[in-house]
Order: sequence, then structure tokens, then C-alpha cells
Amino acid sequence: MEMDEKDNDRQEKLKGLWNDAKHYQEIHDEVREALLHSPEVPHIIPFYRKKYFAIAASIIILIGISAILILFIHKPSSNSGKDELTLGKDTILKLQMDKPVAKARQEIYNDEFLLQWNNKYDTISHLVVIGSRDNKIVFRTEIKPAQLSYKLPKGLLHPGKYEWYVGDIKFKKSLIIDH
Amino acid sequence: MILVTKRIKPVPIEKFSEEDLIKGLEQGDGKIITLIYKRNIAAVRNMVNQYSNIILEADDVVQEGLTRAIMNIRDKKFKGASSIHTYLYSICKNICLKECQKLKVFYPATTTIDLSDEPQEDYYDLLQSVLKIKERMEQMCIEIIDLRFSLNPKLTSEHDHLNKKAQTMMPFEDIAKKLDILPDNARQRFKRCLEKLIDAVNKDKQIEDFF
Repeated sequence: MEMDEKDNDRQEKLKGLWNDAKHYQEIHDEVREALLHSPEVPHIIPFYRKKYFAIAASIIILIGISAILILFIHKPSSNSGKDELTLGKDTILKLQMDKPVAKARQEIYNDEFLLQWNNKYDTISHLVVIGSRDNKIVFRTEIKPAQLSYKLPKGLLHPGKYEWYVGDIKFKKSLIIDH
Repeated sequence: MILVTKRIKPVPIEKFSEEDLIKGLEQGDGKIITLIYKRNIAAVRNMVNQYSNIILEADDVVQEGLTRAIMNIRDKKFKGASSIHTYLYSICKNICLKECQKLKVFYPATTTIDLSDEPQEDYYDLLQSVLKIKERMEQMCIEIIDLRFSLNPKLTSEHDHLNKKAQTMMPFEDIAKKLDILPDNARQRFKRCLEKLIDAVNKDKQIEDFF
């Protein structure tokens, strides 16, 4: 009996809520209709006035500016010109190209450096020299198919520790330039 | 043949008295709704922009505010303690504050609202929860619950006072006629749909707390 009364009470409350929700929905529709059919109210808010758009646009602009800063502003002080890149340690892995090189070998050739390797490539590959201190690419050049060495121009690298590789960073070799 | 072009100038809101505006809202007069919207949108837009840490569109806030204001006026909950514009603005501010509280974000401490005419703000959240549940229900169920929960048109104060609650529901015989089904079928269908509704309601913490 008590249970029945509780159920009835609950059902009565539910009925009130249901009817109020219906009433609320009807008024909401009335308001929307009134505003929709009024020539004095702008019906479509321009997309650029939406906050969602403003936030999305801000994020895109920030990403764009960051990308520009990464790619162009932090250029290394190298003479190689067009092939200069300033990518950090994490992004170096993205530069993986071509087939892996089995072994890299370095020889000192007066003040110049001759870098040699023993894997031939079928396609164009890249020789990359990275500064060990900051992991930034300081030199990068294309390697033609079947090319097995590259002579670094005089004065290209300042004294310090470097690493270089051809094609695949997994097979890299250190390079020390003394004063 | 004479052709005439008449230019209809919009009537400024100042031409309407406070009573006219309230009456217009109560009757759902589209012209009055538009005038009040236009009169308040700039102020609400400025206010919404202060809440930079929540995403709210001023137009949505005013629309929601107008809905609540009209509902309160029709339910005689609006006592006229403030002008309709102040009232609408306060409702809109409460909507923004509520959103801040929901999202647990910072809002200016000075923005406290004391709105004597405004019923519990949470109640509108409850109504929106009910509408969400309704959206997920079958049309057949919505129809029969709407009918059963609507007022019994035959009910008068002279009727049986002992079972007044039961009489506020539409009798199954009447529902059956409207739906062109047997009264027993109407009863069973309502029972089944009500169970679904209660089940959905039980899963909603906010409505459950209300009960």
C-alpha cells in the first residue's frame, strides 16, 4: 500500500516533469520560429563571428606560425644554402630515406673531408651531417645513384663533434674536427 | 489602376509599455519576441564575451533566456519585481554562470545573481534531461505518454475528490478512441512505455535526485 503511494507520487512527479518538458520545448520552438521569420533578426550568423570558428582559426594560425618558425627562422650557420634544415632530434627520424647503408667510413683529406660508404643506391639518396651537441642538421646534400663518396668542401664545418650518415640514420658515423 | 507601395516602419520598442511586452510574450507574439531579442542581444553579447573561458553564443543564450522568461510568465512565476529586460538579462547571466559551474571554470566573483522571480535554475536542466530521454524514445511511446499525462478534459472540481490524482490522467478509454485501439491495448502499451521511461530516468542521476 505504502509502495503504491510512493509509485503514484513518483509517477505524478514524472508526469509534471514530462508535461513541463513538453511545454518548454513548445515555447523554445515558438521563440525560434518568431526569430527565424523576423526580417529584423539576422538568421545566419556569419561563420567568422562564431566563437568556435575563432578558436579553431586561432589554433590553426598558431600551428602555422610555429611551423614557419621551425622551418625558416632557426637556420644553422652553414654555407650549404638551399639544403639547410634545422630539425631537432625527434624530427631527424622523419628524414629516413632509401636503403640502409651497411657501414660508413671517414677519411681525413687535408683540410677537406672525404666521406665514403659502400652501399650503392638505385635512386637519389641524401648525405646528412648532424652536430652532436644540439642534434641539428648542419649539412645535407643529394647523393646520386651509384655514388660512393662525397667530399665536404673546405671550411664547411667548424671544429667540433659531428655525426653523418647516408640514407638511414641507423648507420651513422662520428666525425671529429680538431682545431 | 493605381499601384501603391507602403513602407511599413517598425514600431520601436519604447512605444510598448511593460504590460504590453509581458502580455506579448505570454501570448507568444512573434513581433514582441523579436523586439525584446533585438533590444537585449547587444548587452547579452557583451556579457557572454566576459566569460572567455566558456564557449557560448549570445544568440543561443538569449533564445534560451526568452524561452525561460516566457515559460515563467505563463506559469505566473514572474511577479514583475523587475523590468522584463532586467529579468531576461538576469536569466541569461544565470545561464552563463550555470555553464561555468558545470564546466568547473572560473567566473568573476562579483557576478552573483539574486533573482526572486526566477525558479530553480536546475529545473531547466531537468527538463532538458527529460527531452534528451524523450528523443531516444519511440514515437509510439511518446504519443501514448503524452496522451495519458495530459489533463483529463472531462475533469471538473465536482468529480470524485478521493481519487483526484488518478483523474488528472486521461482515461485509457479516451486514449484508445484517439489511437483507434482497444482500451486494454492502450493500458498495456502505456505500461510498457512507462517502464521504459522510468528505466531511462533511473539512469539519469540528476532526475533520480529530483525524485
